[in-house]
Amino acid sequence: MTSPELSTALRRGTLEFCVLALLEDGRRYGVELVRRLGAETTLTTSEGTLYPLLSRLRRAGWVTTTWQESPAGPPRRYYDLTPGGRAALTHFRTEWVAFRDSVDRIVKTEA
Amino acid sequence: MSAPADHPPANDRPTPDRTTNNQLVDGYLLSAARAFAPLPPEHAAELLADLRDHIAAERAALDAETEADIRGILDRLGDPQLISAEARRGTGQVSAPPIPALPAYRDVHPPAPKSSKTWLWVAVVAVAALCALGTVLGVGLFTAAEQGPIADVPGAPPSAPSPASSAPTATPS
Repeated sequence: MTSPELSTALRRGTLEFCVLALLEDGRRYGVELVRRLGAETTLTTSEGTLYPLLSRLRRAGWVTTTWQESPAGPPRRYYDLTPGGRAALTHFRTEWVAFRDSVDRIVKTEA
Repeated sequence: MSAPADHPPANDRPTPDRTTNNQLVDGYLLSAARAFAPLPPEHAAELLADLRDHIAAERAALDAETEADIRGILDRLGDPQLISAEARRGTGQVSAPPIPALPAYRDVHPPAPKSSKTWLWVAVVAVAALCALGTVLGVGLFTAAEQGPIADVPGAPPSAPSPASSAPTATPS
């Protein structure tokens, strides 16, 4: 596997959980989520690709969205974490730490 | 007499810049609509609405938008083909993390101990032996029936013609 393919595979598995983590402490605008994750160049190719991801999270029942009328501009879409999304995030945290520790040990990148 | 306003409302009048900018946005959304054609219609509509609203929100945050601003917004959104590819990759189900989360199957389901397999083989051999025995007995009885009238076993084919013992087999025509 070449470098771009490897990081694509890693990205796909973890990006959804990064979104869930960003929502843990409260609702966020869609545009805010997209901007925040779009800035992480190791995680995303372009901001636009985050919208299909958000749709998937919505269809999975892990987030809900609400439209909010804004006096100063267009209506804005908020995202909220659901209990199912919270549970998925907790589960991911356990798995990720175990995975990360194993790999670090084997490829000798331990701190 | 009041001085003319120094700063006319930025986004109210169709300045040349804004017309060009609107055209850029429309062009982008048009190519996005084409790129989303292979998707289920509701997904395509949802994505288009998201992109349209994203662009509108970004533009609203600008004081006085320039063409460079708009190009920046659209560049950061990225190629609609890539967005479409990402949408097609998802099947509506959230991906599982690509990590071996579960313990190895053999740790949870240890292989059956050897002794139970031995009993299985004993049972198979016993059944086979019974079948063989049954066949031998059946053949033996049949052979006996052939030899004489004593063994007129029901179900066995009639022996050689012996009027005293064999039942009439011909049906009245």
